[in-house]
Amino acid sequence: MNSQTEVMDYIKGSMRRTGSGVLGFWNRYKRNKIGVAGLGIIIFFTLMAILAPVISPYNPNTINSSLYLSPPSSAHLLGTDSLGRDLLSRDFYGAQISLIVGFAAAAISVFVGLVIGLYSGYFGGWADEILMRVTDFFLVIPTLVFMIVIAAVIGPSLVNVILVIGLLSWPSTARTIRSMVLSIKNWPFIESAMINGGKSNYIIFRHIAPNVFPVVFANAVMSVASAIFAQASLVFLGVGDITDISWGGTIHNAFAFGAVSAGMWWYVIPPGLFIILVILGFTMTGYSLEEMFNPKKRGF
Amino acid sequence: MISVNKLNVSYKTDSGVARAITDLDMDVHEGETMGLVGESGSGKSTLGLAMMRILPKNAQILSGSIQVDGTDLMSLSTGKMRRLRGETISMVFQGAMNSLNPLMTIERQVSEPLIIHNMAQGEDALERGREVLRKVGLKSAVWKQYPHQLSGGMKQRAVIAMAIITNPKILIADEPTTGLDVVTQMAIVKLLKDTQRERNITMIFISHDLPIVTKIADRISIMYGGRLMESGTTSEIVRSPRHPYTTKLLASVPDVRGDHLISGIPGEPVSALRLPAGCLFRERCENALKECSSYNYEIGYQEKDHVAFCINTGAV
Repeated sequence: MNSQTEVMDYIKGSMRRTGSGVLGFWNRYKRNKIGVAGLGIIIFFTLMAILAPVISPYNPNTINSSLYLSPPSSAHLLGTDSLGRDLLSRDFYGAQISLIVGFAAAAISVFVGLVIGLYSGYFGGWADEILMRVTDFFLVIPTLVFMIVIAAVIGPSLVNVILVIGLLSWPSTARTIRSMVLSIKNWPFIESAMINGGKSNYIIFRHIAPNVFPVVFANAVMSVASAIFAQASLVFLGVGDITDISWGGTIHNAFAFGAVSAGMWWYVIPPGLFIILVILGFTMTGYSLEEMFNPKKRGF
Repeated sequence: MISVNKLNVSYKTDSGVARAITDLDMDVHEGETMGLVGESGSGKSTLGLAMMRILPKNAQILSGSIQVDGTDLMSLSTGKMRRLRGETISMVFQGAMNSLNPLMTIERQVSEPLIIHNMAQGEDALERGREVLRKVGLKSAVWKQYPHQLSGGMKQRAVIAMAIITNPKILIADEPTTGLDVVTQMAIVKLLKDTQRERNITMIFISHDLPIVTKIADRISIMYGGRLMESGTTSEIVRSPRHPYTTKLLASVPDVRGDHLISGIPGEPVSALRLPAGCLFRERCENALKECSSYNYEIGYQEKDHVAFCINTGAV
């Protein structure tokens, strides 16, 4: 099978989606057990983030110096941290930062990747050459190390962390989009749009972009997972605003105060588990979407 | 209306330079349909692409000009040429199945030239799209459908609707019936013919299918190896062909009623990579003379508009 047929399969997949509407899309999606489980996890954490002020038993920032590093009790179900703050409440609130960083950074990375991929693939020639060499540059540098350096230089605020993650994780999206565009631009309907006198930008955004959208969508969901992971890693390594409540930050604290070696599982395990679960949720959803849009991947 | 003068087009390929069109002259008058007939590789599609100035990157126009209403297309800026495309000159091309965006509704796709050329926007454009769709015989049920829900013939009608929505002066139809069944082919030809008459469009109908072309064309040009072999009115070409190649093409048409055997043309078309000197058809020609190998494409036969490039036209 050549790549054109593959791309056509993508297009046909998305075509069915558009043809049968949102309801038809959901009807097909819900048959995918992995996808439904993933979506369930995402909804669970989204609700946790939104309802954190309601479901948290305590204010997550209330310091109680008489109760520091206390084990789980009926008053504090997951104990308290080094400053005597309720850990369960902090774990609930941590969902907020994770999702904000995940979605915002993924949006930046997908947007940049999409634009670069579209232009690079459509124009080809020297424009493609330059854009792809830049992409290669970002692809080969060790991202986490680079993120730490940049975040250290521009300062570790929440916005900066989002920017750093977003602006460093677009290359794989750009490459994927570019290769699809290379194939789609040879399809007769693109020539047809040229024959009708369409300008390059019109053809790129009106004809090519909608046809790569399904892949972009699946890619975006996967990007959220990696952005959440990157944020947790950065904060754990001490890059990030320590006043923000986040799962990575809680684990960082646990290490800093020797909670791990002291066997205080309630300090480390819940935030670690949440990180794993939320990443798993997004990955499963993204994987299922990709499987739906690309019939070749069905039947796994 | 359209005047092609001494046009030379070549393609750079990995195995050398391919001469797609050599010294081509052609005049198409306003409101007529010119049929362009030839085998694969005869340069007929290249001519269509050259008229739209959408030749692939490896193609090069070596010399000559294409004039529309006295304007040399080659001298126009990219922007001006783009404005001409889809507005003054439209094209319907091979494989209508794929020339519609799979993610656009038919009505949106058909109104696209209006939107691109700022002639109408939004609901207004869609309304005019529906009007044209009705004209080409597509009922309201398909207006909001997507290309994969339509049959080949319906898609070809939609493509024609898209090509005529801006009321172009010139329509280039490159193999518009290829890949359709015979009944649909005739319906599409009739639609093109009616549309052309009704709107007084100057049409260039490119096809390898001579019988189809005779149904629609006022005049026919026969091409071979990138050169013009013979050109004349449809009845001249069919009744009194002067070039042996034309005669052979006509003899290759199966006859349902008669019992004459189809006589194909022996040999293979010339390769554009290595065009032989002299007459290009001579190696496959039964009437070839010794002089044919040094033939230099002087007009061999001419009566008014009927011309044939052969030195042995008397033998036909």
